Amino acid sequence: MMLWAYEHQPVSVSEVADHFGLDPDDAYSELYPLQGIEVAVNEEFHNLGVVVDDDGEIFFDINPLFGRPRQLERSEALGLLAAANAALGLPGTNVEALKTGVLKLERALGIGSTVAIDIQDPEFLKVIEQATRNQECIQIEYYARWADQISIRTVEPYETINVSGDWYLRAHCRLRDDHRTFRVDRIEGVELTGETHVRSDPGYEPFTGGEEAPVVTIEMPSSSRWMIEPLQASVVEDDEKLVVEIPVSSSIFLERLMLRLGPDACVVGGGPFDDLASAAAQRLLSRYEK
Amino acid sequence: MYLRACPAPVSWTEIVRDTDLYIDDGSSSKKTFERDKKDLRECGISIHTENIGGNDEAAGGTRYAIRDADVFLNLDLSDRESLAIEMAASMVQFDAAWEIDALAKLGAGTLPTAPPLRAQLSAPDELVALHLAVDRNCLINFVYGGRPREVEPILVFWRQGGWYVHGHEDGTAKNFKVERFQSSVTVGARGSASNHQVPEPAEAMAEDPLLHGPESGLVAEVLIDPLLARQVERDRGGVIDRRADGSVVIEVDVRSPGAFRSWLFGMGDHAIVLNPPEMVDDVVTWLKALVSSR
Repeated sequence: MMLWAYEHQPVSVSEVADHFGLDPDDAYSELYPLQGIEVAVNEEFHNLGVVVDDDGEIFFDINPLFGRPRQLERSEALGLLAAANAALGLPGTNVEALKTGVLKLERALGIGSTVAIDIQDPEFLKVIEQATRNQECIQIEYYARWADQISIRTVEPYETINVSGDWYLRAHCRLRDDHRTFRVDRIEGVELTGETHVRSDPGYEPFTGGEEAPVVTIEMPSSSRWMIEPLQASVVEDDEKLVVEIPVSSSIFLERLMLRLGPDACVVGGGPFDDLASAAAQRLLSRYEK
Repeated sequence: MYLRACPAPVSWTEIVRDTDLYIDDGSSSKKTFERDKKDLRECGISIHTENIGGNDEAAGGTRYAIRDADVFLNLDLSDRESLAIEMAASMVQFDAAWEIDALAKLGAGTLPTAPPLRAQLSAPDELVALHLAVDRNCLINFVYGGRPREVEPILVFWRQGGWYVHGHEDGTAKNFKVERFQSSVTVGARGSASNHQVPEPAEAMAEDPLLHGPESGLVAEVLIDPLLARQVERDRGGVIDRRADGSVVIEVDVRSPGAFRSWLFGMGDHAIVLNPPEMVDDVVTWLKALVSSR
């Protein structure tokens, strides 16, 4: 408990109790006596340097024998080294300081960087990072796949985030006067406007709210699993056939997915999407028959 | 604290004699000592042990120590390096928050500003075992594709939302996607795998999914309409013809017909195959089967 508290300063007894699932009074009883602990070694007394005050706040003036960073667990070392190495390739990083820091970490941990993170670097990431950092409005030319259209809009960037390998820009869109998320590799042009915005990031909720997309159940051969792995699909059955449920934000998305999955896949339960794949296939076929 | 402060390993008898932590060296005190050691280990503090040799009374017993290197990181980062590492860990985050736990141990402070970019990575359970295996040259065993595998792992890497192990199976270099493992990973003894040259992720596995698989020599010509022409040219290149309406014809290596169709149909009505005839036939057959499947 003491070590955890030391590593999570400033901290109170009630926070320690919460973390360890203890009654606050029990945690206080365990932590309070730490103040008086002294150990004599070679006739020299070492006090731990912990103070727990009456309000339950814990203060440290830790003895140098104990006050240095502890060894990292393998998972922690892996996480930190991998993150640091990956960040070397991202815009906005102090590359020189990070490189020497990583070298020192590797030496101290006694392990090498055998885990690599290969983050894609789409064409406009750097300028979008710059605009996000400076709260500068940008004009983007964007291909919206769900609508199958290109539009030009001015947006006020909040955050640029990589989820499942793809970069997204969360921003306020002046064209729609609403919050929107844009996939960075579908941005076809960016212009800095020189105008800064003062809008504060409302967090994730406004971006995920609104009407929920209908969920479609699809049956497909197991060998097509790789096509749905990057999607937000829930596996319902995983036997000779794979049955998954997928939220469908637009019929264009579902149409293209069914074209890719091919004749051995089908939408279960029919409904409005029953003929979608065959109609799309017929339309495409007519282009080859011209 | 006593074990930490002692300059050399000490025996149970010396611990009882030199500290007031245990009232005697009886079995009840020894049980308390065992519990204390367990608590320390659970906190991540290794207790070094060594056997006591010789012929005297203490012979055959154990000496204990908490060695500096087992407990503390000998790390001397400058302020700029600390800040750069902290910023990196705020930009690249594992969903298991490993880097946050590590920063807590390093005593990191608060960043002056939030990073403008952030990448979120999954942290599958197998990752720590795989890292250990690569780091110590250990063979790994797991079930994949319905059969048991024995692999010499060389590199663990993340790409497009997935973790992969690059390694040698039966002398052949292969890539295995970690989320498709069908069992936990068993890690063999240190040094049980051979040493191999560690490739860059791009050498281990082509970044373009269309280039996965053996070379077929088949090159398709694909017409991309104006709506997607600029994006496809930027992402793939290979333009062999530009048409007046803004559409382009590009050349694409076809190594796996499935991957090729997936890429092609991902563009819907905006792309059609022009050549070679066998690829056109393949696509037309696929579409006809889809039409007649209703």
